[in-house]
Amino acid sequence: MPAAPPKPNRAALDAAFTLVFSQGRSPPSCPVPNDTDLLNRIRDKVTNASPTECRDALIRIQRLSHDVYEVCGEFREGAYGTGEDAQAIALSLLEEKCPGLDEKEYRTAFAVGMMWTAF
Amino acid sequence: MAQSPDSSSWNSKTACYAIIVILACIAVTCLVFAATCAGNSMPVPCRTDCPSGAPLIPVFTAPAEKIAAFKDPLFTRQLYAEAVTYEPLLGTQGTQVHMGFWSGKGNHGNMLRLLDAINEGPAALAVPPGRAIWDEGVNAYYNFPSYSQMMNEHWYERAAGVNGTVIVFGRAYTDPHTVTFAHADEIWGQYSARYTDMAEPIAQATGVPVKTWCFVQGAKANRVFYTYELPQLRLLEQKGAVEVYFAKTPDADWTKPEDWINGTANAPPPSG
Repeated sequence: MPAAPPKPNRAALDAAFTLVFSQGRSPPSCPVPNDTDLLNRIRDKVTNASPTECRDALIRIQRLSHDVYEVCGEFREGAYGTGEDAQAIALSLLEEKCPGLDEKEYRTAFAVGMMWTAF
Repeated sequence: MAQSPDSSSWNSKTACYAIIVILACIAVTCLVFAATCAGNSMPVPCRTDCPSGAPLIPVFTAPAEKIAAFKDPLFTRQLYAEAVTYEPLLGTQGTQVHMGFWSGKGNHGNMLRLLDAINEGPAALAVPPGRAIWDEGVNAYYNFPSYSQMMNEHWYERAAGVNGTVIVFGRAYTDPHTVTFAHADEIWGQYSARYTDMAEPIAQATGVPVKTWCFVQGAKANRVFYTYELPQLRLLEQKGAVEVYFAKTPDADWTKPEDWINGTANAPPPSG
């Protein structure tokens, strides 16, 4: 039986989210800062988290940054409809793809993804 | 020497005034520092030494006001003035200025690499020097104040708001204006068009056509590049203000002509 995935460290997730979605050089392909730099910044911010927890947090948030790009691209093409529900569908899809974050983070990620995909 | 009673009283008053002045200075310093960190209505990004917990406050500009300002050709002059203030070589005779354009997934990073290669490579030290800018600022590190202002206006967070409540930096705010994704797209689009137009005053000042480098592989037709920037590039090319190059691959090297397609007439078709 496969081992259950480790429970994410909330503080490390917050730090990774802020780096990628509030302070990042967006979109996700950006080479600066690189993964090592990002990881060091998370570890500096959350000193009581283990290196594994920090790496896990970064991977989860980077996954979110890639998924949000796809979801926002599909939203723009009308894949979720064109009415008021379309955004709610996009947000719930994002949560399904990348579970474990809170509503504010999904909404922020969605807004940032809409900016990335505008260009 | 013994002090007279008058002298003692004068010293007390002086000490009192000195304390008041010091306290007033501290209060003013605190207020200025708080205003700088909080942003308030000023487009001042938070400094890295601001104490943590001082939130940036979003600026709730009306979308119609912003669109009108960006449609005005005067905004190109403003952006040019900001650019030259940060990097005087952009307005100096002889400088070879490069402007970056990107669209589509992955291309932001590709553009950033080219920008750094010019600004931190031999071209930057050549005579005359080369300088590369993009829509965000005069290099990869220093943003145009107008760009920072737009970031502080959080157009996409505001468009994603529900019933007038928007989430910015994890905090809820009430937006006095209704903002849609169409507004946000047009604001960024008009900004990008005026950024493109900046090639003309730059070419006039330097006397050298601007080289424009476009990483647009996989870009869609209805996004900023094909909708707002390419039409302006075509006009500028006709005027002789720009030379336009399209990257053939994500790692195209600006020093290798074989890595590029020349001219807007040969622009790669958009994807989808």
